[in-house]
Amino acid sequence: MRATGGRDVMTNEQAIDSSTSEQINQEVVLAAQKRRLNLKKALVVVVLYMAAFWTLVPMYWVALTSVKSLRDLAHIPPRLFPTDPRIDAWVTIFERRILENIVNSLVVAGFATIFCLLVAVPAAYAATRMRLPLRFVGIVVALMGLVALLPPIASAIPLYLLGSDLGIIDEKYTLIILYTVLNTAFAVWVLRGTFMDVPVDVEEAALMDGDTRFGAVRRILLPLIFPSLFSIAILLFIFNWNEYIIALYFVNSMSTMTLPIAIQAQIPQHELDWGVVSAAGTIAVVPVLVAAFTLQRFLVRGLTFGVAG
Amino acid sequence: MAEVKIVGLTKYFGDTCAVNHLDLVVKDGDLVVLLGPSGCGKTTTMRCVAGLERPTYGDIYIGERRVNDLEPRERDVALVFQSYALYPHFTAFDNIAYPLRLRKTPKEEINRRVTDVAELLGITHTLERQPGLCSGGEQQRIALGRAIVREPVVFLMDEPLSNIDALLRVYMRAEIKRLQHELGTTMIYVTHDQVEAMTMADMIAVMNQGTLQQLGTPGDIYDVPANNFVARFVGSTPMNFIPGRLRQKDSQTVHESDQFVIPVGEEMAVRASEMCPDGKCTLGIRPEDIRFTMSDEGRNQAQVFLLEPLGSETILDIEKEGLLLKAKDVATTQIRPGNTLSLSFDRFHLFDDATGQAIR
Repeated sequence: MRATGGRDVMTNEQAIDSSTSEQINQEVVLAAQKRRLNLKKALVVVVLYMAAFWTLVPMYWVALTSVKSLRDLAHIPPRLFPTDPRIDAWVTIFERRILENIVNSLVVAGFATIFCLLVAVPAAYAATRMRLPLRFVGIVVALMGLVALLPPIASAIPLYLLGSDLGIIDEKYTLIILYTVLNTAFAVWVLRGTFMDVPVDVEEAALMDGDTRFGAVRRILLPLIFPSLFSIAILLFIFNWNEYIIALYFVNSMSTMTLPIAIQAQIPQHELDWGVVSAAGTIAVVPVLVAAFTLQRFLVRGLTFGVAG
Repeated sequence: MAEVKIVGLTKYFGDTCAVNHLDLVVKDGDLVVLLGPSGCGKTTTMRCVAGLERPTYGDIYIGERRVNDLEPRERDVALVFQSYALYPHFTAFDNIAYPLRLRKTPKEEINRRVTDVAELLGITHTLERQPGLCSGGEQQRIALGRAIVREPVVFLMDEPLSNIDALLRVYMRAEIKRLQHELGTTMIYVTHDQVEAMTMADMIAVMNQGTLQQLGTPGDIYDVPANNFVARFVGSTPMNFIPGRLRQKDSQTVHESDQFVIPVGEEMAVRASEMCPDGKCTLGIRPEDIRFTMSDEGRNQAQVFLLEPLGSETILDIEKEGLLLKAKDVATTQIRPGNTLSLSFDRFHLFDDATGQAIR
């Protein structure tokens, strides 16, 4: 303002005048913006707290129930803190060899995750990098999406019939195979988006520099998408860890049961020991929580990789 | 060091023909610029040489070897990408060292060569940084370093300067040319910027719609364009085109348009009658070749309607009956918008309207 007014002395004062009034105006506008921003922020915080409350209270309640005495359990109104904490339920659950089921779950979820990635990474790579006929890729990817959207119950019964014909019911490896197959479509879908975010140039540069295609993928592409790869692995692991429907059909002896089925098995016909079921439920939540907390940085980066570009 | 020979190169993507029967020889140690608008097939041609695309038809030779069926890594050519394509998770040092590591070069030698190249390019201070923390110009140089360090037989450059700011571009232009001369390595340089092409090239290959329009020195391309496409594309102030036809007038051949009557030299008239019997042709003249005087006399008069001062010179925008021409004058021109000028056309080109070919 002053710089332009400098040419003419007459207008100089006017210029200063208008510039100060403009400044005040600006301050008012800024303050209003700030208030609006604060209000928005507050609203967001409130919603987030509500969501956290909504999610965390049931978990707390389950953990709490596992250490409550019978008297506390039956108390009305419900008690938010145990007056007489017991560890009976936890002793019982380990006496019932829940550890074995935990190991089963870890093995099944772990191997299924690894195998799934071993299939999905090359598949997603081919779908993004090879110059295949567009229509072909489109059809395959659409089919895969369809499979991923299919409710597991829809495939559970035919798969069970198939499995019993083959005589592979009640085996852990059957679950590993099934989880691998059922998750591959989802994994390819997500990985495809991730691969598309890495410019082809970088890989071609590696080829020009003297690398093989495989070497370029291993040394350049995979390290670049590692955060996404890691978060997809975690997601798959959690899916597998929580899976219930398929496992319900395919395992029925205590020694092959995964955790979700084992928890259900704690509920007998006539009486229900809330403490034992809650203790088992608490155990089931632990790895998921650990994964979410330690890897939240990766998870956020990985899941937004496609968005940020 | 090697010659690159492209014989009958044709490349289809589906039904689209990207490169159509291209013949081109790049002599050992030459810097050849492939110049053309986007989509003209220049990048595809270069990618075929690099081995990133397979030719549909035709052969590519590097030195004596036919390389059609060789993988990129077997061709010993280096490519600098438009986006630089640096490895974001490596430091600048590792970026430059990568091709050497793949060749199992001993560690001390890698250190020595990377340091040498970094010094040559003036990027020693960036070596420990990741590319994301370097400026555009530094990234550009890291990419160059990665190409230079392994001493390839051919350099390929895919519009390497289009992502850096104008000032730095002028500087890097000279830098790349100097490097190429020092190393004596054959280079194929792709660009759509005709100024870049003119300033850097030993030879320019102008391409359009997948076909080679003209191969020549920058001087040839500018002074003796083979057709109207080349004439239009090259020149920072574009060539003026005046559509019209050739006629006999008072026992002399003239190019007659709605606006002007321009006498044509005898030799050119003879060639024109051979090449273009119906006489329909467009006259093309560079802005600096339009001569003018401030007078109301003469046949070819036109009015100035705008001045474009460029500091070193002034462009005059001239209009006559719907036809716009650009002419050049000195910076201190006395001409003002509204002045009437008498124009004369001495050095010009004629282009056959039917084929677009230059008549000469």
